[in-house]
Amino acid sequence: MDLALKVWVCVVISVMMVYALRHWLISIRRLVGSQRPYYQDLLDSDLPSVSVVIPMHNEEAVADQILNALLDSAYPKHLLEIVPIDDHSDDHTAEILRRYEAEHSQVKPLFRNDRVRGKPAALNEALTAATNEIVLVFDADYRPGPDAVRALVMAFQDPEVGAVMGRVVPSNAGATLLTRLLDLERSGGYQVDQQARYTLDLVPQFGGTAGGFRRSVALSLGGFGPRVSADDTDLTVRLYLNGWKVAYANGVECYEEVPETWDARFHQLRRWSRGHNQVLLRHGASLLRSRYLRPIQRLDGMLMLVVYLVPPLLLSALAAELVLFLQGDLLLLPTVILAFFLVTYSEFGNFAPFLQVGIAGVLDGMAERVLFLPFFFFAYLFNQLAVTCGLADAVLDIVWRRDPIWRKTPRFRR
Amino acid sequence: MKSAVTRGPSVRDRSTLLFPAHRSYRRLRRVTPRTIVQTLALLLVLEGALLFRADWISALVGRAALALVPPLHTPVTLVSNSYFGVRVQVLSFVLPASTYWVQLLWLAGGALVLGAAVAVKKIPVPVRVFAGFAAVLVCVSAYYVLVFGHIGFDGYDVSRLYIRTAMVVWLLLPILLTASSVALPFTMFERAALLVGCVGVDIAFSLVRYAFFVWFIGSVGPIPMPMLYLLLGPALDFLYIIGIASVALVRLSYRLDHAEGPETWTWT
Repeated sequence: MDLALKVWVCVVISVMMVYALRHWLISIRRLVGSQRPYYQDLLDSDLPSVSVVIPMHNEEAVADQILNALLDSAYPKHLLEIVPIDDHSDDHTAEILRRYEAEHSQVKPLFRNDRVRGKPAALNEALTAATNEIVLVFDADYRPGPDAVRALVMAFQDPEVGAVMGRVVPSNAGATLLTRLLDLERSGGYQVDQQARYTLDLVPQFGGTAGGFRRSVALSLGGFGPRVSADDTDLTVRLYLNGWKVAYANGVECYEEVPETWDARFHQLRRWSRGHNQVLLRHGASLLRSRYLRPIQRLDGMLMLVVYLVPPLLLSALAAELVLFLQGDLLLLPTVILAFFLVTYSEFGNFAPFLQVGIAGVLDGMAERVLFLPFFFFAYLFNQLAVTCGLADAVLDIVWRRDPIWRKTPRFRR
Repeated sequence: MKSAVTRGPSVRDRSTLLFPAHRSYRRLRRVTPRTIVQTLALLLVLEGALLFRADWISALVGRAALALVPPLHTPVTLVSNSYFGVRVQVLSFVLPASTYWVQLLWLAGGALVLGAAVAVKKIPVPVRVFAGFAAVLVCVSAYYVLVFGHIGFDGYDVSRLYIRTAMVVWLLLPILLTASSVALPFTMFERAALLVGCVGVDIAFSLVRYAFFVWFIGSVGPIPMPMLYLLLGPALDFLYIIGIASVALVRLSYRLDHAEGPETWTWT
């Protein structure tokens, strides 16, 4: 029993070491390595027609803003189709969409009231309703800049690109301590992690919003799985498994509203963890065998998928340490190494990636905002719990053969 | 003859740049081999000092902690012990016997805190999670003592474990900080201040925490030991080290964005 616990602790430490090394290399590479320019920097050509899809459920507070932002876009009006989807709203969202439909010919809303609710189902319906090959997706609380549509579409001039993702920047960063932390976390995740993965030709992720994909490809891959909570990760992996690439546009900054309350953040993280682990169970083995990916890309893909298993692993290692401690059988070295890598994971790790966040802060010129870094410790334990609950959800989904109920992150706009 | 040297634009040139490096794609210049060598030399000097003066540091920490520990019901003595050839000074003390009622009290207290962490919604969630986690550790420990009668460590064992752990952290900390900061354009003085400052603060805080740890365990018994060793200790270490590192990053960020002279940033 004791030996098994010690071996388990060592296994967890090994996983931590792989992630620590990965985050360190990615961070240093982003800080001083040559950057891969985005397509807009290289090419310009005739612009294609594009459909912009906006899933909405009770979005009366933000609907005007996103529709106006898209209507003010620098993209030629005759090439732009805007497809807002009213998904079972019981507020004034439908009325707002009807008003825009009457006033603007390019706004073509979809109304869903009698079918399964949820973003994947809504996107599937939009895929059949949209008339253009390039489909961009924005969540209703996003505010794309005037050049965002044009810049995102540029990536599809590359015939190998199946999806593109822009950078997400919180618009309410100053609202609470949580939003400050999420601002730092997003900065580290996009400015350093996604950009380095794009530069190194690894596997940047399509995040399901502030990005887009080829309609024919999404349809050929079966659309969005309504039984998966992380439809974006699911599509990302299926694209890579079928030989497509995902481009990342660090310069295309889209503003979003991040959760302002810890409860909302808990449910968001739990949903992400649930979906990520569902995708891991579905596609993990295929990803490891993919003939389209190089070994380093397979490794990066697996590290991306396994990341939501790490917090439960850490908690299990801590439980093993506790048992060994109570029995007086604690080996000093594993204890120290675990403690060390707990810190290291926090330093290099995913949910509170201190080195990445610090470097992103320097690159973004965030200066004093980096002073919030130590507060990540409190978010760290919180994240462990939320992610572990998400894993439990994913396992129970399989055991009970239940479908996830889509739970939207609440809006906080005043 | 002067060789041709490629330099960045001057201050005057910068004002005429049409496209300054946008934050999305800008990066710093690569670290020079000279900087890497200097940084590694600094690390070696610090590690050497810590290793060769380990006896002295341990004696200093042991004596200072002994002086800081308030009186306990049993005497606290300084015991010499060998660890990888280093003479480590360990505070030795006897843990108070934990009665059945005391164990039940810890169990009930832990359960109460856990219940409050779950139920009291007015407290911010991260604080509730932290308190709940600490309460779980206390409850498990109390339950173990209740069932098996004792924890596997006595006062001397746990004290020795603490000081050995602290010493290994002092040695690993400079390596971690060097790895994190090697590509950042700190001056050698700033690098040295960061490394020595963090290790110095860690040693000072470790001895204060050591004294508190011995006093607390010596006063209330062994049940909260796992909570202190596995949660509170690493949390405190983490908070002030990241705090110091973030202050250094803020200074650096200001300097880079307000730098005089050649353009700091490189594009693609």
